[in-house]
Amino acid sequence: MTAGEHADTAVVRVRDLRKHFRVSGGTVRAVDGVSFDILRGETLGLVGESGCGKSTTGRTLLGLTPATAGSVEFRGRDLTGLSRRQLRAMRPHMQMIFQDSAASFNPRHTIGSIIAEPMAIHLDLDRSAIHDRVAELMELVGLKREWRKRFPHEFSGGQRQRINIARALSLNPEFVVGDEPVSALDVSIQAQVVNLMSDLQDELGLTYLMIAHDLSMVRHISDRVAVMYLGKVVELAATETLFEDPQHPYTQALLSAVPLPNPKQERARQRILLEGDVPSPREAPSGCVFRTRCPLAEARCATEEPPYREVSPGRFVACHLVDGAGSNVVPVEITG
Amino acid sequence: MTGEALLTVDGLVTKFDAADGVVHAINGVSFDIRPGETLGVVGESGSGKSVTMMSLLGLIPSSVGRIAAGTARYRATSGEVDLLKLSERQFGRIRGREIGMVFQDPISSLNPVMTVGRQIAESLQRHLGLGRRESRSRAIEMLARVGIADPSHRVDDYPHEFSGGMRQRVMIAIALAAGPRLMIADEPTTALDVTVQAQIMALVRELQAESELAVIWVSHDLGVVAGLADRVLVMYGGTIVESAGVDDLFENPQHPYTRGLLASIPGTGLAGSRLASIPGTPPSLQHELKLCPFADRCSHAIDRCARERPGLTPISADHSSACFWDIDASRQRDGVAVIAQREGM
Ligand SMILES: Nc1ncnc2c1ncn2[C@@H]1O[C@H](COP(=O)(O)OP(=O)(O)OP(=O)(O)O)[C@@H](O)[C@H]1O
Ligand SMILES: Nc1ncnc2c1ncn2[C@@H]1O[C@H](COP(=O)(O)OP(=O)(O)O)[C@@H](O)[C@H]1O
Ligand code: SF4
Ligand code: SF4
Ligand SMILES: [Mg+2]
Ligand SMILES: [Mg+2]
Repeated sequence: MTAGEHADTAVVRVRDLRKHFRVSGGTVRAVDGVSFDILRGETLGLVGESGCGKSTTGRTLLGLTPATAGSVEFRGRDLTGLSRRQLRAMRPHMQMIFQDSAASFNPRHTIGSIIAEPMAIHLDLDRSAIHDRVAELMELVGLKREWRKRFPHEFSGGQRQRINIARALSLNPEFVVGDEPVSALDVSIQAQVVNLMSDLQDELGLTYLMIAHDLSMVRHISDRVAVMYLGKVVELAATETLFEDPQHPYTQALLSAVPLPNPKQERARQRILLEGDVPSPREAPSGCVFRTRCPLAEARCATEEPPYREVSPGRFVACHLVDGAGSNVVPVEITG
Repeated sequence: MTGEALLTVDGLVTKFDAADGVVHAINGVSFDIRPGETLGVVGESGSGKSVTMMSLLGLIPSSVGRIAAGTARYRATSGEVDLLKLSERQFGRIRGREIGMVFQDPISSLNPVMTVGRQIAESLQRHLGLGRRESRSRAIEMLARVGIADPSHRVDDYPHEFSGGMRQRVMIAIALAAGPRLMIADEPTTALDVTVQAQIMALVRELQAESELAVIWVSHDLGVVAGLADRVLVMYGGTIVESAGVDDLFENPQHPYTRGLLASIPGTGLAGSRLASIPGTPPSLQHELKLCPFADRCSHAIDRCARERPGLTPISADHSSACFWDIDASRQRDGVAVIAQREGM
């Protein structure tokens, strides 16, 4: 499904969202002014390297941690100003699936009671209704209903992630944030879980924000993709547009670094090798956050922050050299 | 990448004694590697990649496990040795000197209270008998060789003063300082970001272009292996199920597991289509392996697969597979060795 097929109704509207953490010796600007919409029924992929602020964005967006500034509108209502009680009332509509399902389960609870827990807290259902609903959810995610009395350790990683998904879906959410939901799984098992999540999206009309660092997986599951670097979204576009024709120098380098499972392509490939590592978000560079590693950086990149702007319909880029008129005017230097 | 094998492993069997019984981690693994060659080892978690490498390096503590069978002939500078029969004292002259090692997590492999220069120099002093001054200047050279900027200052820094990617460069500098002809790297880039992984992969390619360094590169990422390896071993259930030249393996995979694994990588199938997945989960390794380890997940399985275990059998030059079935021809493959079978059958 592509974003365009749907009337562009944004389920979630994020504007200039910031989340800063005070730490000894300074401030970590984990999320530093990000704006995007998530459209009804779509999957927005959120990618970037470790520490760039993906998880913090997901958590702040759901109100699991208070925002420092900015707004998050869910169905037209700003969540950042809500009280705890008001947020709690919104909770059933928005759920999160984490990477490490095993760690979040109580090992002494049966999986039936693990799946039932959110319903017991949030919904006014009697025991037998919950019992039936658990069986239904287990079947929905491909677990046998007879297994409800089993304990988490009796399941494999892929099965535990299914339990996690069943639990997240128990409240009939509209919007689900997946924070690396398959990263801890082996590739053949990842495929099972990814297929399940996309079937459920079609069946239930879910809207997803999928956080991941595996770019091939993101390409497979997303309608649109946002690329983060040091607390900022540097580029956002429809998936194929982004992968076929990346505009931001960081996106270009990131995509060119992804190893392809094809030895001939790998050998023939031209790579953009970035120097060094990502700077600490405690000492984010002035001007453009990418300038310390950018092969195209110019003088103004150190002093002026590039605006995040829509350079062509539906495509957003934050780079001085990408202005919409042409694009990335200077060819990127390529190393073998 | 010519000539005689540098390392020849034959019939490696490694077992652990766990609380609830024996874990049959490695069930007869055989392969070889030639000078200058890069051997990629892939497989899902628990398939036995790390235990194989630890067995070769004498790093299985006798308190938890044992090598029950096999030989691993290594052509050391001082003559041929069997890595599976060395004493801990003899290993002292092999690890770091004859075989360099790099692991996934550089921070736990580096000594946090010793400067990186001292850690490199120590290897040079111990293995090559160099003096203090000479080993220090060689340490600076090594840091420069692995791409650390400003090496004459960085040599006095501690590991925590380096980023993750730089620490892995330092690990490679230590691994290669004494000039081994083989480097064993177990998931060396798994903990790194993809742009940093690309740097490390480029570095290893450069280092190999300069010398006849052979590399065993363990990874669960088939893309990384496609980019680095000359030859690939695919592991499953503590066995090698397929072994082939890298192009052959990716273009013409023969074992049902390898095919399933390649098909489940996003991007290899049709865009927008469902990912191919392999139903079920890997084997538990609680029993001695007397059948095909993939039998309960394999869509091609025939009766004998649950009774007999196929051995790794050559099917063309430099391409072997451990499977009774020929998928393309849709019939049983001739001449597949049966290396174990269930009793009473
Ligand atoms: N509670 C906290 N206190 C201080 N710093 C924090 C806190 N939570 C996150 N950070 C910092 O904020 C930055 C962004 O973290 P975040 O977890 O969002 O990254 P991420 O993109 O999800 O990374 P990964 O890919 O490793 O999961 C990091 O530098 C992190 O160390
Ligand atoms: N110390 C140990 N005790 C018991 N079993 C072990 C031990 N170390 C490894 N194993 C088992 O050996 C098998 C192979 O593990 P390993 O080589 O680490 O896999 P990987 O391919 O992921 O590197 C697994 O089933 C693992 O659980
Ligand atoms: S603004 Fe400057 S430093 Fe930033 S990405 Fe563009 S060219 Fe590079
Ligand atoms: S031996 Fe049988 S079960 Fe094993 S991979 Fe081949 S066909 Fe499948
Ligand atoms: Mg995260
Ligand atoms: Mg391992």
